Amino acid sequence: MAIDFPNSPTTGQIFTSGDKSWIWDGTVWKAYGASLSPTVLKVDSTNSRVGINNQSPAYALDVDGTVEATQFIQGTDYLTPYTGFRNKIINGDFRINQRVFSSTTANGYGHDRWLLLKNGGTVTYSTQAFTVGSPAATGYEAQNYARIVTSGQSASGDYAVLAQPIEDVRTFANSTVTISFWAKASSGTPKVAVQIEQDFGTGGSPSSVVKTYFGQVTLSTSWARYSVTGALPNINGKTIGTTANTSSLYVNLWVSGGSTFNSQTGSLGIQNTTIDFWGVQVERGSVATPFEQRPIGAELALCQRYYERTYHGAGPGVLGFVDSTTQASICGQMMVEKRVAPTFATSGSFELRRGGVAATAVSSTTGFAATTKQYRFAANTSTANLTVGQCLLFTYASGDPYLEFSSEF
Amino acid sequence: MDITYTIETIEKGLFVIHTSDGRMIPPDDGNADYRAYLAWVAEGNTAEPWNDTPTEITPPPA
Repeated sequence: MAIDFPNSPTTGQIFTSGDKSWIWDGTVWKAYGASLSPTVLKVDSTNSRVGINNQSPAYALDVDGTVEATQFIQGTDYLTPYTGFRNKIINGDFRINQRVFSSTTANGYGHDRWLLLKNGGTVTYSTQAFTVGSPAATGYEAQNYARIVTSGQSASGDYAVLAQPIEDVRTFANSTVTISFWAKASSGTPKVAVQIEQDFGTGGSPSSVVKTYFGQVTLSTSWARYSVTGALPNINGKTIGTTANTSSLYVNLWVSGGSTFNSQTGSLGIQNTTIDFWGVQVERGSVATPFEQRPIGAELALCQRYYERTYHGAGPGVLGFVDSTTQASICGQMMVEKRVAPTFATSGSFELRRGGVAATAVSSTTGFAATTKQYRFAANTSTANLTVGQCLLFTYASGDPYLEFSSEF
Repeated sequence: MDITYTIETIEKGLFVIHTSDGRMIPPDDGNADYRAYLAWVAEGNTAEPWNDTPTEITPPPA
């Protein structure tokens, strides 16, 4: 079939016949889109853009569909890396549980970095296990998820929130941010309200907390991924507290909120219901990118900046030296440098071991002092049988005792 | 459960706060537990001494 090209074409004009296209460059018609169908490959030479499955490319390369690369895709925009650490949430898949928590009804931390904030009624935050092979999302075989059960709430000041403080209020300031998560309800179609608080920390005269409501999503009884996008305010003109590392960005997932909090929740209201969460991600931009799966060692180290539990069951313990016949100084280094000097606690039975003599039981620990990296405490004994100056080992006596360091917000 | 506090003096002017649930809090302004203790004091409470015998312990390097 003869091809009837237009008479008097204009420069840049595209002519299509069958599955082929040509473009008039001012002198001759040149092949346009090679041998591919013009509905598949669109070359917009006027704007220097290429579209694949996209007839109106808006970017240099605009693809409608999945892109697969056999090599790393490199981005030069430092604000929006294509891979790695896009997600500012730590432990978004709830797999790190150093506290070995099973459930709590009190305000406080459960899974690492995840905080229950509640008032009124009974709110139970628990860890739940996925059935192997039945994850929240295909391709994300996960271990745990979080469940919030709210009951008995009715007052305007009642609320239930699953929250995570992200260190440093500078995070995502003056940026478009997308919060995404998988969730499901036990029944009905309850909602989750998403809100972020910019907390300027402590010390000096920090600015007041800025609360930004991002939106609501409506759940079903099946796992599904939801996302909301909004703009975090600029912090220009704000004052950050003078105490280092105390400012933060609180990401709040509201499952219930009385009318007192309408401006923060979009008038979510009281919801006495059961809601499950998994795969929480907070990232720059207007798109919920695939849930980031970091190596477990990296995720654990991120958690340990805020909380660290060091087990000593059958382990080597921590070195120390004897101060008096009933007391030894124990000193060590934390596995990860902490946000601030941490709160310390011990659990279980410890003893002091020296070469050639029987171990002495530790009756108490006192005198804790720490920087963000190192710690020291006194191990006291009821039996006055230690020799001043002797080196020794502070180690487990039975079971699986542990040392705990917390620098959470 | 309301937390109560006692204060242990350590040599060289250092001290540590003991909580009724068994934790020890260093006097670090960035520590959330220490700020909770300061708020407790601001409410008019006073921490009793942990004991009368200062613990012989040297602070870690800064």
